Amino acid sequence: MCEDCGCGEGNARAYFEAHEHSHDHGHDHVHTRVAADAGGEIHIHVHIDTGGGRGEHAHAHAHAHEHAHAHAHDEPSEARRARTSVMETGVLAKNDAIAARNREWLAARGVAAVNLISSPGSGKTLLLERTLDALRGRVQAAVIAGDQHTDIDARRLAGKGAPVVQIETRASCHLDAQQVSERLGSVVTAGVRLLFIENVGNLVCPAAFDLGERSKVALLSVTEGEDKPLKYPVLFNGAPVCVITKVDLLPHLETDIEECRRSVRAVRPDARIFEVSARTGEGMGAWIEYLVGLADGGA
Amino acid sequence: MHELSLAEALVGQLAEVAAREGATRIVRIDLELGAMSGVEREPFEFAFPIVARGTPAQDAILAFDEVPVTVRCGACGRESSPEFPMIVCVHCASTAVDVVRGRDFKVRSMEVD
Repeated sequence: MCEDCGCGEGNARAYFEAHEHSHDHGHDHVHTRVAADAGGEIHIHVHIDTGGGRGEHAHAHAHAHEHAHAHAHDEPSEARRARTSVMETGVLAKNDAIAARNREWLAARGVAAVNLISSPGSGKTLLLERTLDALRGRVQAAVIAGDQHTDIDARRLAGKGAPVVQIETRASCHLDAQQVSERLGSVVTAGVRLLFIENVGNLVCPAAFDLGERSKVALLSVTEGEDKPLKYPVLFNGAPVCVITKVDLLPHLETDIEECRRSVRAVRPDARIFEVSARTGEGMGAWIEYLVGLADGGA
Repeated sequence: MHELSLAEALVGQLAEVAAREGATRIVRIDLELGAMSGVEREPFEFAFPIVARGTPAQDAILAFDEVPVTVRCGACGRESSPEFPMIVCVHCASTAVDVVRGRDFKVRSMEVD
């Protein structure tokens, strides 16, 4: 029943859109939601009595219904054809299922995957170039590189002893589990123990898509400003590891590295933070040891 | 604008369930939207009708339950909802906390004809 007028409309918890309906028992009325905020919703309910009287009242509450019908009020409510299916599934359930398959596929082959996410220009590709150089001969790695366009990254990363494939996402702003799934077989060749997935440069969208990685790694370059983790908390909270890049530039900037650390930990208190310069090699040792540990089955 | 991808995922999922249940029209969709799901309501509401056109979900009402981030404290054991994006116990200021709610974007139920 409609809570307001008892007109037999199905009611539920949250009210979302205006609706109207008519009754054949002497009055018509229109419900309109006019405002919604944290305090609830204002719901105006106007009765237009066919007998000439006009009642108008406003009250705040939350409910929902949508459909038009007419019936006599002295009859029992007609049986509703509408029925509810309880789902309780993630909107990205399909992506997550493919990601889970990727994870199993990788685990069965003893491969740890790292999903590298950052804004464009934070130094993902240079970090990867130097990382592949450092891992060469120690840990066999492979790379899936994602960009909207071009295979520039794949060409930069080629010739370093690691198989590389490029995904051009075109209009899409992130990699998804299906795209990764389609490349696993070709890039994870015999002996590979570490798979780098270089996501599309974007601090927002890639954070929502599980690819089947062992670990998400967020990059934050010192030129981006200390507050990026606070502004993009979904990614920085979702990444147990954060690499602060381009630290060789600190003498030329007003960036406060301690403030960078604080903002990372504000959104992810247990974040493991590496501070590196891929260009000079500063801090790269700890990062490489972390990756070797990951390939050896560590966390 | 990954909300378009999310809308596509949702419409696909709804169409599957509707087909299984022999329903031709989806009237209403109840969604849980966590503050830390990475999904924004407005772009999602913009994208959904575009993707839903011509499907059973075409005229469906989207009803959102927006769920704040809730953490459980490893130090004092209590739950609280810190001011996003801070991840900290509101009661004792400990950062030894686990996020227990607010990460999900899921469809709870749908009403079909």
